[in-house]
Amino acid sequence: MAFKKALIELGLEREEAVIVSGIGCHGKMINYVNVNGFHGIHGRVLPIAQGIKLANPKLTVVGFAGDADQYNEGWSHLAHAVRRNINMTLIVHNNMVLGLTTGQATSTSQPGFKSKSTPFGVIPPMLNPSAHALVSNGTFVARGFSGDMLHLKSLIVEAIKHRGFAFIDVFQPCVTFNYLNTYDWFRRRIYKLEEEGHDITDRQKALEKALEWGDRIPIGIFYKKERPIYRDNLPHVKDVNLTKLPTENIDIASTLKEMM
Amino acid sequence: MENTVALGAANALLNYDPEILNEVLRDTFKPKTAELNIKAAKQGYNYAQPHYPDDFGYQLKKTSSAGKHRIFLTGNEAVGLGAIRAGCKLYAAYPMTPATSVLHFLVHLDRTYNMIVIQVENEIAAINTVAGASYTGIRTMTATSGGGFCLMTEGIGMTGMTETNPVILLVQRPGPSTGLPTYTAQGDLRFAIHASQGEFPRIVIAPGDVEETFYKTMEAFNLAEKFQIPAIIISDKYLAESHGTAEPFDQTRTNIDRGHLTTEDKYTGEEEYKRHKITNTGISPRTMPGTKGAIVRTNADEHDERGYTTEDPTLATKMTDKRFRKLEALTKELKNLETTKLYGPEEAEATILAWGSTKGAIREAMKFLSKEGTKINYLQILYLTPFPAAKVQKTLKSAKKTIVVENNKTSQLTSLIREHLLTTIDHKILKYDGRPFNPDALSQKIKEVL
Repeated sequence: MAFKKALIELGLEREEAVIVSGIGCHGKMINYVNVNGFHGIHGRVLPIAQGIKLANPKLTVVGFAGDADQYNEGWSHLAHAVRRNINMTLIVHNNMVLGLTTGQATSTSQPGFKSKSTPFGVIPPMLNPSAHALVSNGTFVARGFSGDMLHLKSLIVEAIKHRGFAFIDVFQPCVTFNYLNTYDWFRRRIYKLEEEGHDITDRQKALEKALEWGDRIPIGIFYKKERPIYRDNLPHVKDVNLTKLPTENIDIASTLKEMM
Repeated sequence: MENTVALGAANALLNYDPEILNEVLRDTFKPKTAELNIKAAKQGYNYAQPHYPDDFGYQLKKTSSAGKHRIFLTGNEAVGLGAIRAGCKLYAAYPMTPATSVLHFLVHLDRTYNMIVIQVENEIAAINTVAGASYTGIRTMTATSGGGFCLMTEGIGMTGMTETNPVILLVQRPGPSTGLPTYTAQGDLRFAIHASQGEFPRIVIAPGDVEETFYKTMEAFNLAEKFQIPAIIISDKYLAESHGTAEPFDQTRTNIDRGHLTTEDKYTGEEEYKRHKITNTGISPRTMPGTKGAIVRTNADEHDERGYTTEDPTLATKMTDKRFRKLEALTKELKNLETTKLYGPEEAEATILAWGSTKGAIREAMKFLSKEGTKINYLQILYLTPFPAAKVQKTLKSAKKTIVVENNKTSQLTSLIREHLLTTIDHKILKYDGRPFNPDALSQKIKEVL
């Protein structure tokens, strides 16, 4: 809903947007939003989405992943997408549990969280995706909450407008399998960074805020700073849509000559 | 500089003009180093000439090329050239010997030919990146060796389901696991044919030399796009990284065929666009995301014509049948393409069946045997999937004795022939020590089984 509203606010035509989803409860996203869509396999939203954006920079590309999808199966792709800084957005539906497979722990489940795969409680500490994105040289790192749709919508709008790779981790409680991190649980803890005068250009402060967890949990934009996007360093295709280039009559005579 | 001395000595044995070697040395080194090397070559030449006069069986003669030049390249470079000429616009890969040199070759040319060549974080990223890019309507490729291909398998299945069409080059080396990482093998044939869960049509092509590699790469791009299926080119370390000469590639020989693709400007949008529309041939008209009036939706889950997820049993059957109708159409199309090649006399004492890089050694061994009066012919199988069963059967019918020559332990081609033609092969000559066949040794082995 927040995403649909964001698309309307941005004034995007259906044909201009592509959403890519992975495997998890979020995966059906492409069935619910009538824009271009690619429902891929578990953990691989980012490579698919980056492939699309590299090929056709005119498209607005938004990836949707789940916490197990991105932070377990696809964890390595996140760091590389963040540092590569291709101009796209990633929204992770983080419910801190594997819902589609009926309730196992993920890497963002809290220590002690009892699930079907951890009957005595999760042993290791949680991964921190926002802090991870910041230390991987992220240019837009934010966190949202599905219990505050208007706030989330504004984050999505900002993320899509950002020139570079924008990452939003979204708390989206699973009402079926997460008995611990519920809407109420979040509502009691969440506060908005922008209401406490957080400086979104200060990476050190952003990291401090991203590491905050417990009685108070921040949402909003942690950090935002532009740096050249991946394509800026490809002078030959900087403003080129590869889908518009000719496929026929590519003359390789000069390369053949060099081989003689 | 010992190697230069040896080259000079070899020149003397072959009775070849030393000035030709000097030119090469001047071409290769900076002036000062070149002069030192020329001196070294001269020493070798001057020593060998009086000591070994006229007793070497082979003499090199200058040919009258009359301004004609051949090209000199590796199999991997031939794949790269084929991809460029076929209009490939994005190449994503992770380094793995012996496929890495494709990345090196293409990245030096991406600015010349307006491509994006990108080294990604791993092979899983590589296959998914080229699948995503292929969905936008461009031609894409990736390359790897066995280990990386293992990581790609799930993504290859996704291309089957989403009907995206990257070209995947698999350069084999001996396994299992890391095996002999810098040597050659043909142990991944079955793996390439069956990689990924579920059933979907694909293409597996095995070129045998640099020339075939170029033309078959272009063909792979055309067929992949036309039938909207993944195409795997299977090569090996020996073919990929050995240098060979060839006639300059004929750019007019293979045309670009983009199949049922409507570019943005040509799309009329008379009815709702359905990416996975059920048709008689199984091929759904393709358009590019971004096209006004068309929503392009695809899905790794089973889906309906519009790309929406479905669990409906009737629809699941229909969509599987639709994808497999493309295989029928492809098989028909392959009748007009060179899927096998027969070398040697029609009438022969024995027929060799083989695929891929064994071609050079086999043809050389045939020459040796023919000099001794032994007539052998050889069927090279270029397409392993779909398998050219009728053409292979025709050759087998007139064969007196059959021999499969392969760089693997279990003779995977033999099993493939048996699977498609219910025929046994009389003899197998197999080598799995990481080294390619040597023509001399191979001709001996052939004599042993005759």
